[in-house]
Amino acid sequence: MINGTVTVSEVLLVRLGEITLKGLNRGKFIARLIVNMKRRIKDLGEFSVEQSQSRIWIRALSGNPPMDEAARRLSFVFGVVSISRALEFEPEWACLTSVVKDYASAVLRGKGEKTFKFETKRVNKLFPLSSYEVSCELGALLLDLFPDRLAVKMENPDIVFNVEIREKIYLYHDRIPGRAGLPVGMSGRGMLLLSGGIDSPVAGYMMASRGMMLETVYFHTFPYTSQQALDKVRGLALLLAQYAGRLAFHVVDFTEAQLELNEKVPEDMLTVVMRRVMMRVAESLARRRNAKALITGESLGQVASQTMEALMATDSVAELPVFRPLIGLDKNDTISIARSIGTFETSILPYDDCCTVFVSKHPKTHPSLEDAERAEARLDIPSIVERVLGRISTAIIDPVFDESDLS
Amino acid sequence: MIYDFDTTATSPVLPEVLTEYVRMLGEQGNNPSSTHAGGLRALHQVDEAKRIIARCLDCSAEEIIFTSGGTESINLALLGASRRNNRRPRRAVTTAGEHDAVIETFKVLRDDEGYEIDFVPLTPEGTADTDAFIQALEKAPCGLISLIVASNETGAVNDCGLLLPLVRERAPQAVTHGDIVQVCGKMPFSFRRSGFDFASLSGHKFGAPKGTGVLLKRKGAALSPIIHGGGQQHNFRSGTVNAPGAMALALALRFHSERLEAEREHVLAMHHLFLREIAARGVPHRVISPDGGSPYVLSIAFPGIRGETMLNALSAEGVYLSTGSACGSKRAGENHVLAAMGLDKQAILSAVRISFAPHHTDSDVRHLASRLADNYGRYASI
Repeated sequence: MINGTVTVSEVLLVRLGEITLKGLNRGKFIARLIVNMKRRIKDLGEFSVEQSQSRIWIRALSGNPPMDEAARRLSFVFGVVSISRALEFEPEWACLTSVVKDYASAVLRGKGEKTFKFETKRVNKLFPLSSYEVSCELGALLLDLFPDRLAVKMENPDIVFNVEIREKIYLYHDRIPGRAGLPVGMSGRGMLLLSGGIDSPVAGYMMASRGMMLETVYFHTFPYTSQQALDKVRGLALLLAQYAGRLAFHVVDFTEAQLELNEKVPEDMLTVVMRRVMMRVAESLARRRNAKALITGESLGQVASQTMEALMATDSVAELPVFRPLIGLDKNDTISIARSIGTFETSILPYDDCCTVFVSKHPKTHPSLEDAERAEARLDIPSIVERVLGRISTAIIDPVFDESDLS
Repeated sequence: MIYDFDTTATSPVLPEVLTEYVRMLGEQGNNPSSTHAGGLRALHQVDEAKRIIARCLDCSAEEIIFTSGGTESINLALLGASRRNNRRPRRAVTTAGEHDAVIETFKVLRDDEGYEIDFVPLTPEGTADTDAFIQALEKAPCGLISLIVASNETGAVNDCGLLLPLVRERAPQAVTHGDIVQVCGKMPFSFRRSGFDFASLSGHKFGAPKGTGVLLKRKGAALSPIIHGGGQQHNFRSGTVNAPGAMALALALRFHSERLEAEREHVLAMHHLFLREIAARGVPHRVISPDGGSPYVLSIAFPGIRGETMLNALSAEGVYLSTGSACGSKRAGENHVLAAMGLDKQAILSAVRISFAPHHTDSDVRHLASRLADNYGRYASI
């Protein structure tokens, strides 16, 4: 953008949190974060993504890509604490005053009376004015320009104009909050058991926020569960991918196994045995896919299958660690996370998932390990698991290319 | 090949109607309100459509208001009649077996205009309980009555010849509305003799395109518009009249009216054939639809398998049916009509709605029964 005779370009200034505290590994974390960020915006245009001064700077290399959309998407990438859209130009006082006038006019367009202040940070000590002087001068300039609409306020003004004087000058006023956490890919890979309810997407989100790369597995029991239920879970996986990045979505055709369980397992133990079979299948799949952990959305005591005893009964069939980030969370807290990440509305669509279709009327709430093993006595478990593993279809869900599917 | 046994939800456009409809759409297609020759041609089309409809439903052409479908007609009748009759008692009587379009519109009248709504309970046969209906009429003065004639859920038919005279005796001031959406093209109906002040119908339920409907309004019945604009159709329903749609609706209605007896007999035969076929195949079932109702709709429960599971399994094989009325079937396990008939939750969960239509053949129905029996054997847990 040419502003009079001043060359002004738009940059995204990305602030990092926890990562900057890392010691020798810091470089790896930042490199990973940059890869993740580039992936999320690659279809919007050509960008340079560079790290300096504990921030990441994103500039368009050509054309005029939509920087607001880029900022929106990057705010979902774990490791990003906040983002500002800034103008970048030569460190000349004349440039600064001219850009500030236009910038403030644009910010104030259509707005009523506002309070404001300038915050200046001068890193480049060759610049002739001090930080304090820059703020005072620019404040006075805007008061002259908009005498009826602007008033200076130091505590909590409506608008804070930030000026950073480095090798170039950066001017910005907004700050889009990011999701913090660690870059996905830094903490191995986990297999998330996705059911279609409220909890499991939240569990996946929480593990991804700690840098875990996700794969998801859904147990489809058609015709007991519908095509809409599958579409809904796929929608949830796509929402998760907005944060966790590209992920594999495995759909297990579980109907044959379910029919066998219905026939051979006592009704009050059906849920526990079903979960134990699913756990075994998920673990075998995880090993094939090089995932090092299983992730579930269970919360202690929430339903009969999530009592201490029931969890032990399902855990005992898995050798990989089972992460349950919601285990101590109140349902209301889970719901508020689900709302904030945008999965809640999809989760409450009324299509039955396998958990709601196959609940027995009076499930055993405190099944012992022996109960579970006894209930499985008539089953050839290894053969069931093997057959189920042969009935898995896998799709890769890419947040960039599948974005249009989101409604 | 698709076997569509969900024709209560909607029906394919009749081939005879489609040809004519497409031809009309391809014509110059002027606005019937325009006063040039093209506009007049379109106006004549609309008038001709009215004459055809009037002959089929035994009403006069002036009693016809074109709308976008059943839901709009119902909204216009209930909201429009009540707002125009504000000196009448703010109390309405209807049945627990109504379509959502009626129930939700009454809720608006209740919440916005202070109406008290009396929902007359259903008998186990799915019709309005006559004694309760009389009580509701006698309890307090009543300004508005709405009755579904043939149920979209069960095919149960309310005896209007019995119920409407009761209204005339006990609530002579009340405005009456009939939901005849599942009646038109399927059973004889005379608006003149029905005793209704208003009646709502929808074109796509009997082989006309979606987006076509009619509200019948007895001469002299007072009505306020709910859609405002250019004052078309005597200001009862503003908006450019859909001339090709009106004609398509008329042609579809005439097509069925001319064959009503034969079609009904055929549909009844299909209905009975199906019941014989599943009995012969030993599929446990419980017929929910009453004897003597509309043969076009069969509500039936298959204990041991959820209706949704059956729907999913058959859908994958190209056989379509429904678990309830299509508009409401997204709320699993709920069906206000079956519940009002006193069915328990298990029965409701295992119920499906099968629709029979004149184009179904013996082999279609045998195919349905055989696929249903196979899937029952495979997925039911007893």
